[in-house]
Amino acid sequence: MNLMQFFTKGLVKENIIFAMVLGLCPTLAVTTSAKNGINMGLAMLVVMIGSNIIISLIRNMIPDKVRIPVFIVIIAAFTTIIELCMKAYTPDIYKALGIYIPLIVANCVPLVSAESSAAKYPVLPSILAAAGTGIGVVLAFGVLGGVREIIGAGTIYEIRFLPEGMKTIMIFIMPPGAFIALGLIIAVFNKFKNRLYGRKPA
Amino acid sequence: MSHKRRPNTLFNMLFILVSVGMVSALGLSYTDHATKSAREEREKAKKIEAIQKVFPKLNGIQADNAVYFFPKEGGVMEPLTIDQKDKIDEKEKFKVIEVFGVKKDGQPAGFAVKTFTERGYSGKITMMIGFDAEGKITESALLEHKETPGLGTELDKSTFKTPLIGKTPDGTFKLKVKKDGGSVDAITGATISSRAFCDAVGTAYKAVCKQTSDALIACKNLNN
Repeated sequence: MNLMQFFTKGLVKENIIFAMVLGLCPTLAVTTSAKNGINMGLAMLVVMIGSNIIISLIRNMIPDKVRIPVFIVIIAAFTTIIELCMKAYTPDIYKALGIYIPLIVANCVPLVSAESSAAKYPVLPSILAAAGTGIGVVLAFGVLGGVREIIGAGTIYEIRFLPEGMKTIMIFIMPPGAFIALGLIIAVFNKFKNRLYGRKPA
Repeated sequence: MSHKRRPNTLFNMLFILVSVGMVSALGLSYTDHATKSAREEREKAKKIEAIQKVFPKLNGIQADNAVYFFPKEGGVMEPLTIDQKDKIDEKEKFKVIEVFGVKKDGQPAGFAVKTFTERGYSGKITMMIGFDAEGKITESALLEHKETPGLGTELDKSTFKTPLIGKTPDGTFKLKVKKDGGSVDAITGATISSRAFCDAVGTAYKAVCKQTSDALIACKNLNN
């Protein structure tokens, strides 16, 4: 794999939400609006790049059998350190992103990125992989959050564009609607992905 | 790609687990310590900001020093001195209710109350609520909480708050969600958070009533 592929595969071909369908719990929970989704995606991007760097640096010291607990401890500790620093030094950003950060610890997406990239490759490819996956997440959350927000609340990025009082389909703000929206979006996404990369035999 | 990974011996596994654990713990406690004073400063600034926020129509308010209360059995408010407040266990600190008398141009304008509830969807919520001199709600602002983004966090949005401004439990307005026979329109999909909000506001009223010896209309109607 050449270097750029580490980055690009996380965007569409192996988009961790739409193509690999991982980490659905927090996906459904935070994509109640475009803003919430994108903010959460950005927080995850930062955490993934950081934890991938650390894990990649010590990857050859970790015995295979204990890699999962080691990755999780590193990811969780890193996430918490980021949260503490944001609380202290960047209160405005913390106001926007802060509540999403603890959700990242319960999310398997950084773990998957660590497992598949940071554990095996040196630092630079690991950073690119994290960045690609993270941006893929931001895009996925943005689209899903946007769709749910438009249909369920009549606003986009909190700007109301449907007339006041016009009924919206509330269920899209709630988990059942999230599943529905996600399923439909994945169908459309697969069409786009196959056109881009050609159909792979199942 | 050759993996010159350490072999899976018991020693190696224990060693790496313990080392990673220890380094992580060290990193965390160091960061916690190093950021503690900065975080406390932010909390203070947030509180002053929150007091001003709950009186949006009055620029340049003055806030008296806080009067502290702690809720006891049966919802009774016990006044605390500053020393007593400082002695409270870290885990219980969020329950300390702070009542700030608010003045504008020297005239009493109402109260800002830092209140709490334990009935949030994700546990405890602390918030600032403003009452005018007659006890009518002026505004509210969430302080600390873990509510779900997009659901419980809507408690801070005007769609939820606007219908409550200018209201006070006076017999016609009841401080409960409509589902429970009250007058408050709960957030769709976030009934628990909405109930928690009412609980926190009720607690705030109880503290102010204790401080003013039931001077507000609300004080006679809190249990309706």
